[in-house]
Amino acid sequence: MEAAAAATRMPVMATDEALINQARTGDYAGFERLYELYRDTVYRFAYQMTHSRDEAEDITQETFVRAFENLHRFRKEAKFTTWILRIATNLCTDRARMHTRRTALEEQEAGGGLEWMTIGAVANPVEELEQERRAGLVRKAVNALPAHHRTVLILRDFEERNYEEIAAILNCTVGGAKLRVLRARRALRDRLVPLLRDSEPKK
Amino acid sequence: MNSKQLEEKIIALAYGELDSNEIEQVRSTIANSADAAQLFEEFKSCRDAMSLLPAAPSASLGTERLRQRILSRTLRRPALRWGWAGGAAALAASVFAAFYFVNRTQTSPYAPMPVSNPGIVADNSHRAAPTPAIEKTVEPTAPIEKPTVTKRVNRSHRVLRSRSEDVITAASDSAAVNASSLVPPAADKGASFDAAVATNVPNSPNDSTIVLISSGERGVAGTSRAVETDSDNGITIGG
Repeated sequence: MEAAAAATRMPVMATDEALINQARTGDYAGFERLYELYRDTVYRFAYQMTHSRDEAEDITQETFVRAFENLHRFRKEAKFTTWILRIATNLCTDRARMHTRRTALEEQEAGGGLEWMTIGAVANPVEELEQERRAGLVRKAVNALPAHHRTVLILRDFEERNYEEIAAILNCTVGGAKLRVLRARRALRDRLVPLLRDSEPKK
Repeated sequence: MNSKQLEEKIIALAYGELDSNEIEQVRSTIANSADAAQLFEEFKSCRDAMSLLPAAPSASLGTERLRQRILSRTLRRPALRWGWAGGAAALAASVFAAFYFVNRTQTSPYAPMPVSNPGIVADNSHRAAPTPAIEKTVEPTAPIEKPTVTKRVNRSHRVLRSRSEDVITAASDSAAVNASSLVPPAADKGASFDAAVATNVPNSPNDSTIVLISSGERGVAGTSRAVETDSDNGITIGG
């Protein structure tokens, strides 16, 4: 409570650097303010990587815990969002590799249940159902991708981050980031296009 | 522009990342090639499909939860560190104990003292005199006469001695030899009976009747035979 109150008292224009310096000197309120600023960014990314709310929340918390533990390692030339997303990326990649199959199965089951529960609440049930079906196919195709492809696709095509940022998050060159995105898009097309083709009604 | 470069341009166009001066060129290529047009449509559908991914639902990411997690992690760390330190100390103690034990056994009172200068003779008078070795005296239970070896046979054959009632004399060569009643001789264990296979050692030195029972050559089944040997006269019966 005291930390939250202290955070509200802080000047609105306080930069990330000032907050980091504050946290480094032992003032936890500075770090809490950083958490409030960037937790949604991390959570959105983690959710798209895992497609599980609980897991995304857990990854978000763990990301900030690790950031707090390694705050002394943060270099000022990097952006805090880039640094925190790099931690989140590593965590997501590790978990995605472990739980790829289990998560996909749970998503399929949960998606099926959700369709039946929400079908009566939409304006155009047929159109909504078609969109849900396509979304399910996309989710299936994205889940089937290796974690490194999924990471760059979400960063570039979902989060719409620029290549410089992606390069900083992945700790590679801009050219390397472009190449990774290109490969990931090819991999997505190889998986998604056959699924979409098969799901279309035959004439 | 080769096919790979064209594919990269088409992907860039589909995702809206192509430079403005290249757009017209790639568009004209797509208009003239069905394959290029299909490729463009496929990548465009992939780009549109990404927008179908559901947005993240609202999460409960309170600051209190993070604080608890950070606190629990920082409180757990010293204990963990001490745990490692304790483990390392235990390991060091066990290594020291093992080294001390080995060192102690090597410098026993009976071991000669190491002398760096060969001219100096170590004074071991203060040490206890080593216990003299006990001489083992083995008295033979019966006089052993080495039987005449008639044939060299395999070492895998067992040396057996019959009981006194099973002794077969030279005269009763037609009597059946009950091989199952033969027992191994206690005094013959060290004797060189490498040729004998089965024998009944005489009860007295004057009794010269020895029965050798061979089970045949190694690896050849069903070739058992009985051999009677008179060591005094060198008579061998059977085979």
